[in-house]
Amino acid sequence: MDDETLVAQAQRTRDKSNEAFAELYRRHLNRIYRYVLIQVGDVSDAEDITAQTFLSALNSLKSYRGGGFIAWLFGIARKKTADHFRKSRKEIAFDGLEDRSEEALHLDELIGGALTVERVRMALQKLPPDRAEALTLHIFSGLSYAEVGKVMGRSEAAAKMLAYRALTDLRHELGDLVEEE
Amino acid sequence: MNELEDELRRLANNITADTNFAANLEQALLKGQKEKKMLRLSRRYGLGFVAGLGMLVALTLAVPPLRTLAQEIIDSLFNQLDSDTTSYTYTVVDPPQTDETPQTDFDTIAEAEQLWGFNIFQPSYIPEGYEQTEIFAHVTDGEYYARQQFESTSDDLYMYFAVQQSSVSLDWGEAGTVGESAELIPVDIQWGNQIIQGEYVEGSWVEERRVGNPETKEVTKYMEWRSDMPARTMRWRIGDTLFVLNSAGHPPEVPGYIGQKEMIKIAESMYGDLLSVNDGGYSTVADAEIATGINVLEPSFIPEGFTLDKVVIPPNRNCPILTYKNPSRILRINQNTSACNFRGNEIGASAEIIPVTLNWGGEEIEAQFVVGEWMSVEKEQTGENEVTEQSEWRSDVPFRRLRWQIDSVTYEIYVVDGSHNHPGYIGQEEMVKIAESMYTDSVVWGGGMYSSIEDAEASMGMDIPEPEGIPCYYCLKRVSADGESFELVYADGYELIISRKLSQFEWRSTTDIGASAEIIPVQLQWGNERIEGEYVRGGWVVAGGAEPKITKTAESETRELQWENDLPIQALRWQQGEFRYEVYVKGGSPDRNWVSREAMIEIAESLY
Repeated sequence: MDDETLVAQAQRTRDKSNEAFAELYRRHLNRIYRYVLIQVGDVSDAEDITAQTFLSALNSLKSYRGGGFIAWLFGIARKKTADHFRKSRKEIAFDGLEDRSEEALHLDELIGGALTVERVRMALQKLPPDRAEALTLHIFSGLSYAEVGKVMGRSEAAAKMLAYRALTDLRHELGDLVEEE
Repeated sequence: MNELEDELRRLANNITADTNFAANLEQALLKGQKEKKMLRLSRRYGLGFVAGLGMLVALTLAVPPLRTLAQEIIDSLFNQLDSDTTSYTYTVVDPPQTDETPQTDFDTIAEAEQLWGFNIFQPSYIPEGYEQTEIFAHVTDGEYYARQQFESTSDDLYMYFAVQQSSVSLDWGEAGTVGESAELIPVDIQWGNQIIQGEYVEGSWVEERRVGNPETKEVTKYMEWRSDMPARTMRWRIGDTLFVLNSAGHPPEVPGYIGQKEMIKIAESMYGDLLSVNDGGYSTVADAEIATGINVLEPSFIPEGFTLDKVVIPPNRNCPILTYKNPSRILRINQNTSACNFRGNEIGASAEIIPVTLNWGGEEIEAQFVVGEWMSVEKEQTGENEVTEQSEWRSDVPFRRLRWQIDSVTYEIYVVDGSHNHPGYIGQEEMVKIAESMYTDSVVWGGGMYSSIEDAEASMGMDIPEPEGIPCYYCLKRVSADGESFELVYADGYELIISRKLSQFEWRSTTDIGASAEIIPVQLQWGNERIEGEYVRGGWVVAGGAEPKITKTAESETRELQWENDLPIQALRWQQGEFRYEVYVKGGSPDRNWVSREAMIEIAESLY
């Protein structure tokens, strides 16, 4: 069953236990989580923003009028993430630095490999924002370029170009690590 | 390239949400849990109280039997009886106790407004030592009623005041009447740009006896009016809404006493709520953006003490309105003003437009600053259901606007009320700062180009030293840089500003200091060198204390200033090469959130 059919079911249901929405949640949880985590770099914050995204989506589902559920959902995640940065810009830079690094290290230990979440996050932060976002949506959240374009309000070609440029930029930042591997 | 892409994909695929978190969230979603965090307000009951006011509270909690009064009573604020004794009969009706019983007690005004669909006016001024403890709202047969109670936080003295608003035609029982001997004092309430006449009275009805009839379920109360009871009530009317403010407890000399003067202040502070369009609102910018799909710019700088009250986006109109409040003032940011018919979209011919330059992410843009407002001059009944209101533009009233345009979208910061000599005054300079801080919000990723030192460095191609030793309660709010000079603004209620400027420019803070100011020479370790700096504490305030020495003429305003050494304003300056450096701290007190001279030196040295 595709997303749109599930959304239509979820919108119709009067049952508190909204199984159709639960299926949408299971389908997209990790995509949203990855998108958020790679930006905030902190597991607790990423979980919090992910939860806010789905709860907000459920509460405002009736306002969804079609046009791509995934783009709509990522639009919510995007705003929730931006809201997080607005509120905690400084805490991340000063107070939370040690804690976050520890959590990120722990996460990276679990994942292993040449690249770590923290390194990628830091490298992405050096990129122009729209490039970083296009790449994150495409590679980390697995969105097609057409979907990336919808989320970002760009054409499919523009989304593809942004992601390509982001990869080129990242090569300067992370290329050595990959080649060493 | 492909290798990097593959490695990134591998990393991405290895990131999965924690299974416990995922399961808990799914459960929460299936239960239909609300996103909104519930705010529990503390309640304190069980304290015996003034009989008359106690009855009033009881009446308002007795939902729903309320009846309509005769027109002559509606037209008056208090209905003064021709005797000091009266009786009041009511029928006891048990409210239905089913699951369908509508909610009448709320934790937040927004919830009450959402359920009952009418705008509840909140006072933005709450006297010190009081907190909101109760919100009650109800609508019966189209007649609305809301009550907000505020109680003293002191454990020694119990005092409260309550704000009630209702359809003007609702019966208030004995609470709407006063005895023959009651002295009704007319009061003037500044309601935005109008003066509303209200009535103030001291005293209350005291119940003498109560007689019940079990058969008819009728209860009659016999009461006497006593002007010596420690209860005070003020009433005023705006359109079809009647407002009642009452307070109780203790003589005027007791701290926390709320009499006529305070009541007027509370009443006037409720006007600001009118500015929020009556259609609900969102508690955060993100919620508003998600619900409407409209992009809203949020300032990263807001003056001390102000908090975001709500974000309103009127239905079918793309004009977000952000309302910020502090205990006595309203600050509003209107976006895309041409999409809504804001009062003041047009200004009077006599208004003086002061051109102002804004720094919009490094680009200079023109803005306009205007002081003044349309003031109601007279109202005339021009038809059965028609009133014509005449207004004139006045520039001598404390309403200020700053407007600017980005890509054909007009933004406006609007400050309501407040005069120069009150703390927290927001003038042109602060408004410009708020406006400029909205730029960073136009970039989503991590906050924006100049919200971090790294962004400013990357954009300007310069090195900016990251200072160390900034106290943890300060947040980096803004970085300004032009390739040579920079300014780092840290703030969180207070301000800490670090600046470097070329020597030909002025210091960041004022150069002139008072004759009594003590300039303390300090030694700084600047790399391997020891260099000299200067430390000064103090600042200029308007002379005259309670009667500030401000001379106004039609064209100008002159303020007499005096230097005070113990103000929480500190500056540490030093010069090195072609640059002037300054660490400037405004706020705090030696026993709380104080940045000491030593700490300022440490920050200064870290800039090397």
